[in-house]
Amino acid sequence: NEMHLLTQNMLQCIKKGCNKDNFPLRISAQELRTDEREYDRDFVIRMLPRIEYEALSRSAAEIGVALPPQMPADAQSNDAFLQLLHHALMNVAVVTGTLTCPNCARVYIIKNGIPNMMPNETEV
Amino acid sequence: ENMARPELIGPPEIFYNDTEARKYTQSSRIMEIQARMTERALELLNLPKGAPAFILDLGCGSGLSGEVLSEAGHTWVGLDISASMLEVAREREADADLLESDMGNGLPFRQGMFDGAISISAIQWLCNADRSDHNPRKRIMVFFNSLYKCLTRGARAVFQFYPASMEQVHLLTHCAMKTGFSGGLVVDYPNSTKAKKYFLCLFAGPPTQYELPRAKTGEESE
Ligand SMILES: [Zn+2]
Repeated sequence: NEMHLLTQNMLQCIKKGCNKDNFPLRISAQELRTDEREYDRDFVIRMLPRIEYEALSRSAAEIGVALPPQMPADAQSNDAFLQLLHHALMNVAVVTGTLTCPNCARVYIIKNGIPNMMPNETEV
Repeated sequence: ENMARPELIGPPEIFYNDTEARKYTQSSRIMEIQARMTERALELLNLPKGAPAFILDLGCGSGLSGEVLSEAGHTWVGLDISASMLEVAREREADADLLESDMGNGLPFRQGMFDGAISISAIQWLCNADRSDHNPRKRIMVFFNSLYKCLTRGARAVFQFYPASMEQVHLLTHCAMKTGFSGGLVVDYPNSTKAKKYFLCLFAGPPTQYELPRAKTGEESE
């Protein structure tokens, strides 16, 4: 188990009052892994409209994964792109690292592949 | 008595310590009951046939419910407040991303991410005030608000739970409706003390487009 970029692309800061510009959480990875999930075209196409693509490609770059900076206009039918996207979303994984809110700078620790999104005592 | 109502002993992140967490994957009886309740929850979710969906498992624990989701071909994200439970899920190689998170503090997701949500034996914990600064109603409202947002429109959420009282049922249902959900309670096998199961079935869309699923009846065994 690790955190994949699909999850990171959905996460936003939970700190009270931090409701603006609280996405995407910036990744810093100490340990990365690459999974071998089989390419699932239907699933990637289903997730396509939910992905914030520019945030994804920037986050991918932070951990050394190359994606085109813009989503191709023919993304839905561009199999080469979809495979690349599937790899970035589902196979590139963070085992140890941190996520940092771009707005309030709150740091979330990723340990054993699990981000800790629990509020600390001052945030409840 | 205490075994039947763990939420009376203490907060979930304390109750589900390492020893307790391991029980969940060592008892074949617990595992079978959990699997069966998850299958029923998945049936109540009524996802489009043959399409791989993206599902949120709220209070995923050691990943028993998630296994049912994986076997059905779905991708899921699991969230739990107990680090011990998540550690067991990780050791058992649950095929999902896991997050340590407190539902009562709101879900950490953007809008419209999930095709559905399930929760097995977890939501009753939200009805407790485990800390002096916990206000159950407020936490339930924050939770449902954030859940409604992170579901796609028309998605469903199904919560199997063990209500301690009808007041808890009313509180949860009332808060869910206030945050925009429609739906209500489905009680399977209402006449059987052993097999009776409560499912809060919610719909993130207009009530006119939703019909509450029918409960299972009869005296079937659990
Ligand atoms: Zn923040």
